[in-house]
Amino acid sequence: MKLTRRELVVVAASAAAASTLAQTPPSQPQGERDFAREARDNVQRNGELLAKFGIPMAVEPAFQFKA
Amino acid sequence: MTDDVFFAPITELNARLKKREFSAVELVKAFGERLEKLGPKYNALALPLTKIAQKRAKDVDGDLKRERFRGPLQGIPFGAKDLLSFAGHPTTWGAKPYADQVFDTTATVLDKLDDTGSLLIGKLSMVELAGGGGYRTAAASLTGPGLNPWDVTRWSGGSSSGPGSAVAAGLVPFALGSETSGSIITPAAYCGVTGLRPTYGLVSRHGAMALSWTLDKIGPLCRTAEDCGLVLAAIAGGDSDDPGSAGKSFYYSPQFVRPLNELKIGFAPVDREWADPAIQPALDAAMATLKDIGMQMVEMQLPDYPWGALISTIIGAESASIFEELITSGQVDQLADPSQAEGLKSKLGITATQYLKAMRIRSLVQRSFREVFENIDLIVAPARYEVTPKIDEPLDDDGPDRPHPARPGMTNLIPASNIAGLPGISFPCGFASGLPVGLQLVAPPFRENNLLAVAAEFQKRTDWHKRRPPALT
Repeated sequence: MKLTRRELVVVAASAAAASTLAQTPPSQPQGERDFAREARDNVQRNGELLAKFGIPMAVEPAFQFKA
Repeated sequence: MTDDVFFAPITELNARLKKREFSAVELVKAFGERLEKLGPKYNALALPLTKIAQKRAKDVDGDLKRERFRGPLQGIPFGAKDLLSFAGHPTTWGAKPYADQVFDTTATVLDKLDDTGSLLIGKLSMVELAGGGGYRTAAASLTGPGLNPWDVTRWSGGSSSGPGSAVAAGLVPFALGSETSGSIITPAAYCGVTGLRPTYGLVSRHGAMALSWTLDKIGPLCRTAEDCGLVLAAIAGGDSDDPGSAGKSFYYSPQFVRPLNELKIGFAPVDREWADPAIQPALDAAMATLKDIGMQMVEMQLPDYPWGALISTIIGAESASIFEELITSGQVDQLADPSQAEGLKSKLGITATQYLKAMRIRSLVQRSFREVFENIDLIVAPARYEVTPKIDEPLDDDGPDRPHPARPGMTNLIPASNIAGLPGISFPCGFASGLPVGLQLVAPPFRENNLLAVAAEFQKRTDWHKRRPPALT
């Protein structure tokens, strides 16, 4: 997967839950980027974006994915 | 052998093999030596396989001698991204935790190419785990940053970095790459080669590393659109070993495409403003060439969906499941890019409802594209909106501050077309500051012949695809 720099800004990756891993973030030397936090924040933001997207109840997932 | 051989298209090499200007053994030896000598200088080579290929080439020479012709790929050397298994040999997926991984089966696409008499001379490097966790440096690879043959201080693109570099530098006549979201289109654009992303399900993924079961595609990177058509015809087809297989074949038949002046091609005028000013002249000239071909240009906008959230959630949820053991064991921390490791860990936090929401929206996306393609035949956009970055430049750097247009144009075409499973092609359409610029076309499902016919006509009228990068010694 390749995201452009622009897309990386837009792409908030998603959602929820502080997983077990998220509950024990590794200590981060001061001044260095906290990639763990950024990644969790992206998951959170993506989840929020998807939650805002209204969708009719009858729409089923594209599991039988035929292009 | 001369550079004319190393940069010749497949059809020419095959014709010269048939005329006995050189043998398959000689061709494999020449390309193999070049790949082993120069491949490491571009960080493009994961595993040389020249000796095995030379043995196989003797059989091919026997067939050629007896005039048992098996098609245009017979005797043609090639390379494959190191996410395709080749029985008994390491398949690293570009990642340290899998550096010693060996499978006892060979990927379907490699078996299919073997049946045509083409010869695998090396596994080519890639971004670790095809970049599924989201990477922020070109160095996110077991083999180091993919270096661009046009300027080795710059990136070859990812995640099919080795295939892009190796084809551009004339180390292989063609290569197989893979795309989940941009991993063929990007290195093809940055390296100045022609890369084809097939419709989802057209080419078997059996034996390929899974990153996202519903998004992964295998496709060729070549010198020309015609070469892409020939390779696709060889690797496409149903496969009971691939649950996502569409069960369809592909016949390369651009002659049966409607006259190109009857085709409508959608574009977003605002794309020009999104593009880096340095590449705008190349894009302008490319659009003029499409008009010269006679294509009917239709202004359009991409359907409005949360593209970034969709693609990240789908890839994230599927890749977290696929690599769950890697993540929970802590081995994920052996990855070269810590942001990628943390990205994968975070994906375990994607909930089932979020994934299902994304997949439900995906149903709407497919419906929207069906509507789009009721009015047009193809979509055109810049493959990338800038030339390739320096290898030490963070990939999440937003670049120079420029005012962004209000409308997004086609800037999300790569994730959008991947989410919808649509085929796409990138081919060189010019240069900016000595670096290649790529143009991207997207078509409805299984309309690869339309893409190839337009790209081939473009390549008849231009010579960007014939340019050669500076020689390394």
